Amino acid sequence: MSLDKMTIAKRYSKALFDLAVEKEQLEPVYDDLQQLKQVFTEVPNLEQVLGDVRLNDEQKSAIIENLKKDASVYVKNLIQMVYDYGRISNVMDIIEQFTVLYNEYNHIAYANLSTAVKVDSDQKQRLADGFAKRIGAKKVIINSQLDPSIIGGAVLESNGLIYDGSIRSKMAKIKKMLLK
Amino acid sequence: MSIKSEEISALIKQQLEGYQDELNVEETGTVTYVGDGIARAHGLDNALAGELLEFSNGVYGMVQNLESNDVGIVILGSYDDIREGDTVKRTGRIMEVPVGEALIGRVVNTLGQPIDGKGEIKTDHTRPVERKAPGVMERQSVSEPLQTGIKAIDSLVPIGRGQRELIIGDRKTGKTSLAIDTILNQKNQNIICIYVAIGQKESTVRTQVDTLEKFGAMDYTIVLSAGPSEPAPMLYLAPYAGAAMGEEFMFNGKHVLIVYDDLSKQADAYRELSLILRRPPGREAYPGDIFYTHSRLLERAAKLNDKLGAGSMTALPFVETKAGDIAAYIPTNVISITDGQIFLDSDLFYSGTRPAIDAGSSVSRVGGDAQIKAMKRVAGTLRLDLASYRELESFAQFGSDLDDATKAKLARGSRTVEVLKQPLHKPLAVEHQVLILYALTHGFLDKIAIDDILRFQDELIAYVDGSHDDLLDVIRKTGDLPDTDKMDAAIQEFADQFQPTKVEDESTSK
Repeated sequence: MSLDKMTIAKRYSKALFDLAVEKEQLEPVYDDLQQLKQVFTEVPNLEQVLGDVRLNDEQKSAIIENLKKDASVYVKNLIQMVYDYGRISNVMDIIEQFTVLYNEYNHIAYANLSTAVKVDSDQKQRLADGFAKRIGAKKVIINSQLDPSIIGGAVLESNGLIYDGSIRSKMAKIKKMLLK
Repeated sequence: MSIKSEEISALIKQQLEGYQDELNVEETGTVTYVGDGIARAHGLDNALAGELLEFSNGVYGMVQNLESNDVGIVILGSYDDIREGDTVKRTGRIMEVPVGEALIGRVVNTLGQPIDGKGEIKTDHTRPVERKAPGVMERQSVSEPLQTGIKAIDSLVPIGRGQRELIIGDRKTGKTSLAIDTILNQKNQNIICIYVAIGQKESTVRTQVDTLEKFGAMDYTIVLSAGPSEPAPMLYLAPYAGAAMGEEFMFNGKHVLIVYDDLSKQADAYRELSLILRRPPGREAYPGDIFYTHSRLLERAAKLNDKLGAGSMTALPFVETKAGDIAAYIPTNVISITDGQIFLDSDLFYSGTRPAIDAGSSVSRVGGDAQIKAMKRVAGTLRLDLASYRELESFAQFGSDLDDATKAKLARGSRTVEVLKQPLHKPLAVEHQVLILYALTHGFLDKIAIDDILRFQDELIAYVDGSHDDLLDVIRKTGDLPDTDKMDAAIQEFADQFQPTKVEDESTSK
């Protein structure tokens, strides 16, 4: 039975992460992976092309060499190994899992903020500080977006939890209470 | 009636005062796969097995599999508008169904929602669908009879209140009719009936409901239907939902009869969703815990002790066999769980013996204790008589020269078979059953032609009802046989004036 992509990503990213921590190369590896991620997002078909059996090894190797060119030694090895093992199509998942591990290690949390009106950077900073204290993180990076449908208040989404302080959900709650 | 607006606003004000503004924190996951009634979701790290989840379109799901990277969810409703990437919320609750008196007379689905178009069910009681069965000390042994009104069952395989009796047979052998007749007979017996139709055609269920309504049986019956067009999880959960509805009455000291029609379809539904959830298949591709799905369900049928109100829940699970093969996986499982089985034979059915109960392979392990004394006395030898008749019958086909004793045995046997026949939807009260069986075992029927037996029975019952009701009253009140001389006299009195249909020589009638 083939492993699902989640399991693969977890295994490769953990190995890379442990190695990077051991060799004290965490920051350069992280930076390289972010760049690699950017390449893969900018060229949307890259994963597919590299995993395509209709292309021969030489054609693909050229691209791989190109990807490896400026990377640090561990990322270079990762790219080559992932390619050799036919897991190149999982590279994005591996990077994502690595980021999760990296954030956990550095106590960084990401959050999606939805508000009805635009918030300025000061408000955002205060929200980030408050939230960081609540969940015990050192730093919270907030990615905010506008969503007029929530009417007012704010909805914060982080790590599978939704903190809903919007007027919309409060009104829904009142409606439910009155109809009972 | 006048409505004053200030009263309404006062009421709303009062309610709003109680409103507590708190931050809503919800745990969510992302759907990664949807199909065939199940979904997988990533995230939901703290979800519990069996917990209810809510999809973004409002449909509920139940956690079935907890795996290292995702959770497997069965969807309780339409999964057409759930998409990959949708969010799923934890609710922190487990699945419950509405229960209580308000359900009686209604037709509902697995979630307890009405499907009979008679409006909302007003009850605020709910019970969890899955519940651990009563333990050893909460029970007592089965002691009261559950009268099915079917002669062949009440005499040969008696059922007690709190028993679990399997009804097993091929398709089209009258399993459902047996259940419906049993429900019909519970009128004025202070029993609440629950008919759980699992994967039965909607048209069939409609017919059964019509029958029940026609005979006034919907006054004490709940019909729970999970049709074949519903997703597999609904079929799988239907019997548990029915059991939860029954338990509410049982724990309130009432008596409940629950019919699961049928568990082989429930097993098929569970197999389907287990395979889609990628659980390893076992024998006949059923999952490893198929035995447990049935045992934990049937174990919930019980006779509670006096401290808990002495309520009971009698279960009649059905299993359909293929070509009479009771050694298949599901039949053997359920036979081993139940307290006995009633085997319906298709050969008997087509030869006209209806109900087609095979006396040889049908047993009741605990019901004998629950039989009333009078029935025990008249039916005691019936099983042996029938067995020796079947043996002699095949033997007698070879030769025609039989001694008188054998002939008499054959005549008695064929009359026994005839007496145990019973038309559809005509359950008999226990005192009437005792009466006709008494007439049989005391030889009053030996001189009656086979074709006349059922007419004799009906007229005898009508006659004794009319002129010797005191005899039946003794059976009803004490449960014991009245004075045998009086019984003999009454039956003889009727036999003397009985008009046979055709006058013919006794020896040619068989």
